[in-house]
Amino acid sequence: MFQNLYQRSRHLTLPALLAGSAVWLSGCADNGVMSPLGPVAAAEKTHMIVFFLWMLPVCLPILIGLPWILIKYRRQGGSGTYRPNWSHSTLAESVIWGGSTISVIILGVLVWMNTINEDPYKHTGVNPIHVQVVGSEWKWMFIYPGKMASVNKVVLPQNTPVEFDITATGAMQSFWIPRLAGQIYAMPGMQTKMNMTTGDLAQLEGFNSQFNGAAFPLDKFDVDVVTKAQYDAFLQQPRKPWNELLTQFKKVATWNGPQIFDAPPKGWWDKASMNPDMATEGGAAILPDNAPEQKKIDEAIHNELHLTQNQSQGGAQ
Amino acid sequence: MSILGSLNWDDIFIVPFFKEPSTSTAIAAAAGGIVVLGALAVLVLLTVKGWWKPLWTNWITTLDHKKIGVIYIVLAAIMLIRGVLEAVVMRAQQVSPAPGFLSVEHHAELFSTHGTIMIFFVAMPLLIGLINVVMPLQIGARDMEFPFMNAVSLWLSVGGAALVMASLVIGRFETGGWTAYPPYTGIKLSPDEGVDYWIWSLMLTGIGTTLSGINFAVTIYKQRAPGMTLMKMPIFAWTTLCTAILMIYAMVPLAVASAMLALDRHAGFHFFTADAGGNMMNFANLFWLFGHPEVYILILPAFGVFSHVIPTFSGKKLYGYTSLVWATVAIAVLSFTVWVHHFFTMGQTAHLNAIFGIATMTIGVPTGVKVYNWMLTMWRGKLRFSTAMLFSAGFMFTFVIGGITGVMLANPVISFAAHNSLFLVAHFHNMLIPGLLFGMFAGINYWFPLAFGFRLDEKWGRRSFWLWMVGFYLTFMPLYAIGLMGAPRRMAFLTDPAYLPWLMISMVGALAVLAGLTSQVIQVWVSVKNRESLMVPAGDPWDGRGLEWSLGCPVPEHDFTTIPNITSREPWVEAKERGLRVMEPTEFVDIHLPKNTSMGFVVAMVATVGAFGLIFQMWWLGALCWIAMFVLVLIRSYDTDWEKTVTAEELRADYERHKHVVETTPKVSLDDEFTSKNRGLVIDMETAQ
Ligand code: HEM
Ligand SMILES: [Cu+2]
Ligand SMILES: [Cu+2]
Repeated sequence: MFQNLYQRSRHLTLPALLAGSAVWLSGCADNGVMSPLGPVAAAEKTHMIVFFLWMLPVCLPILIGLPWILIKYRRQGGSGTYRPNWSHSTLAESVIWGGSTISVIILGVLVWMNTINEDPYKHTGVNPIHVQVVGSEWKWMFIYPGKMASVNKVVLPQNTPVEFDITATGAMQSFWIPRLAGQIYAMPGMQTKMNMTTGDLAQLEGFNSQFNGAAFPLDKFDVDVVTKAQYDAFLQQPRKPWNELLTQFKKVATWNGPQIFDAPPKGWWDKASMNPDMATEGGAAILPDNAPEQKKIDEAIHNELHLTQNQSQGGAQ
Repeated sequence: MSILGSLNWDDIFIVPFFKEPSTSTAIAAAAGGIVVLGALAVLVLLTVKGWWKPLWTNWITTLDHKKIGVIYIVLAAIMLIRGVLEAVVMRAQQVSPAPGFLSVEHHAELFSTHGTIMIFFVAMPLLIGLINVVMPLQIGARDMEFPFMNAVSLWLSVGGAALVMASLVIGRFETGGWTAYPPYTGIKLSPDEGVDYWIWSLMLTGIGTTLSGINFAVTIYKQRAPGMTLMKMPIFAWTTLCTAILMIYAMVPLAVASAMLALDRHAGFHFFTADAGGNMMNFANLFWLFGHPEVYILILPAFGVFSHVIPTFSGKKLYGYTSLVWATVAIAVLSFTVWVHHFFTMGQTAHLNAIFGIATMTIGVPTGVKVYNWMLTMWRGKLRFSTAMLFSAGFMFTFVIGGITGVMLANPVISFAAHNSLFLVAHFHNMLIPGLLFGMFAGINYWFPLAFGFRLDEKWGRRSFWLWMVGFYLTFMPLYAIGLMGAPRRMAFLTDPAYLPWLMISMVGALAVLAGLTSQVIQVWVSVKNRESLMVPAGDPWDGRGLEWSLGCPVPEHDFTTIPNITSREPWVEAKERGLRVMEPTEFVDIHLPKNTSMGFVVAMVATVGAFGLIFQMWWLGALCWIAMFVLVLIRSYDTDWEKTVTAEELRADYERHKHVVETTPKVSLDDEFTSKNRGLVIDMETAQ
């Protein structure tokens, strides 16, 4: 019987496991922490690998020892000795408890250092650029204080420290640009921060990772990392008046239209972060019962899908 | 407001389909149709076969812990079928060309019901049911300490599940996931009854679970056989005790959080709103103050199961009993100190995150110790690969992989990069499927004869194991991969073409899991059909080690004819070593057992109707039912005629009967363990004289 088992496990489980480990080796994709661009994301990737490796001393003995025991001590055909009453060994106890305690101490020290070093509230360089963020149902507003405001698009100079000040209206969201840094919640009535340093030139995508309703898949934004000159030019671009942004932002669920506006009056973001209704009236525009808006969401989803399909075809050439 | 509260025509399951036909509404209508037709089919079957009366007298009104346990497990099985089907639909949604065949909100309803059902109406009933069947038999008790309360717990859970099923037919379930974070679930952004379904179905089963916890803990404290000190208790009783204590303390924050959410929604409170001084972060804290201990409620009983299955099928004493007990206790205590790891990304200070990260990893120590203890139990054993043993071995291997990713996620910096991603989804399925489902499957395959008198079919059992095992790896290993590639969870469609191959593998895996589940249905069917040849009346089909195998299968209603005196951890093994096949009787005395009563069922059904009233804002109905419920409980409390007597003579006669069965049953060797020769008297001929 065991022969049978053993062969089946060889045939089925191993390929599955190999597929699993391939995951760890590949790190192939475009938009994840496994292909970092900035130093913060790079550090996350490193920690991930280091942690994985540190787990192996405790876990490999099980992953290797278990199949070995299953084969060696099987009743029919196994070759192990049989000691039915053996149930205690001080040596084994000390090794097990001691070994796992030591590895957790090592990992604990690593966690402490990593967490303090990579604190998202800590500046990643001197004089970071400040960008204020308002996450809303299903669009993102970025404010370069005193300079300009933009929707669903944030432009940053390369290799520069940036600090995002983040709030939200409506539901809770999670602000995330995976290739630059980890995520942090964007919450109405609350302020959070995310610090990062941009890497090389790139066109990236950021998004909300916390489900927040009908147009959740559209809740994302472009992140352009550009040269210093391009960045300065961006800030000089012609733009629409702030009031137009504010009225639109309150009304629509998904954004398609101009992306660049004047900056709001000084202190607007701070007030909005304390009083989220200032930005969207509590998300009233996107109530699930709002049928016209629901139609628009469906359309927006279709438009968006067309776009990405075209893009990926273009990219594939 | 009308007498029917917020209920209206659009809430009937087929109406949206006729108003706005689409694949998404068609699927919703079909799901509602299946529930309605399924319920009708059951009613017709019961009537045609004339099963109403036996159902009522043998099952619905029963206070027998074994039968209550069985009903829990049947509930879990029905809900597991729904949960897995929903999972397959979600996987299909993500492999079909975007935007798929489901609307974003319908997909959201699916992951919300799937998560809620799997945790509260599959996992919890499974483990509570298994504890009900087995734990009293292991500690020499004749019933739970509070048998009536046990029935109330059961039917409250059934009521909660019924509400979740009702949401397919009347109205809809919420879309905010099983965690239902406000403000998304507040009245402004989720104005319909969905969130109220979540609140009130969880309230019912939550109260049921708290009562179960009290019942289990008191039973263990007060009903152990004479001589069974705590350190002589079987490990499953230990894990039950720890789980029970967790249930008592952990269900409260959930009840509080959901009650506060209900007040926010309908009474104008502002606990969790963004304005008027509310703070949603309090919800996250309360929820996970329940939620993290909850995952250990789910996993500890399974650890208990493995601690019995592995020694039995290794033919060997459990390695490191003391170590396992302390590891269990340590896990239970630590589980209350780590809840912040579910929201490292909420903006608290790095020091706080670091402390909770380290606390989380500390749980890895006792957990790791346990796995090594089981391995050392197998070491120098003689392993027999029954279905239960296969599930245990599959668990150990798979669980370690989940443990690796769990410790990774305990590092706040890594959590920033993996939170809310499919990596996280893969991680918790990697813990729950082996750590909960495999454990319960092992336990059910192992202890099934105690309740029904016959074994489960091994061939289909093993098939189901391989399908679940392979299905698990195929479904969730790809999710680790695309999670690291930045795929968020709860996403209705993923457009990045790089994900597609992984999603396809995952789809195949989900189908394999579905096939595994189907095999289990077939397994039960085949076993019932062949039950004559699978009967094990002598009661010890696996050369077992615990007291529960000394009682005969199925175990009689009174469980023990006499309560044994316990002098060691494995009294049954010692009795067998002395050549006994029936425990020596101690003293035969008259005993009292609770009479059947319909009151538990009635109270819980009244509570369920009341909850339904609250969901659709029929406040009068809610109030009426809650009052009726208290009156009913009061009436029951004054009922003095609730016990029946089993006389010493009857018990002696039953003992003689069992002894006769054992003496006339042929002994078989381990070679014939899985054949029809096994009538419940299996002996290791190689070592026994
Ligand atoms: C049987 C095989 C299973 C499959 C194929 C499966 C599949 C899935 C899928 C596709 C999701 C949605 C992932 C997403 O957010 O995109 C999900 C979520 C979830 N599953 Fe499962 N699942 C299975 C079993 C289980 C079990 C046994 C449990 C618990 C005991 C469970 C608990 C959950 C929970 C809590 C969620 C999260 C729901 C939420 O986002 O709020 N699942 N599962
Ligand atoms: Cu947790
Ligand atoms: Cu976890």
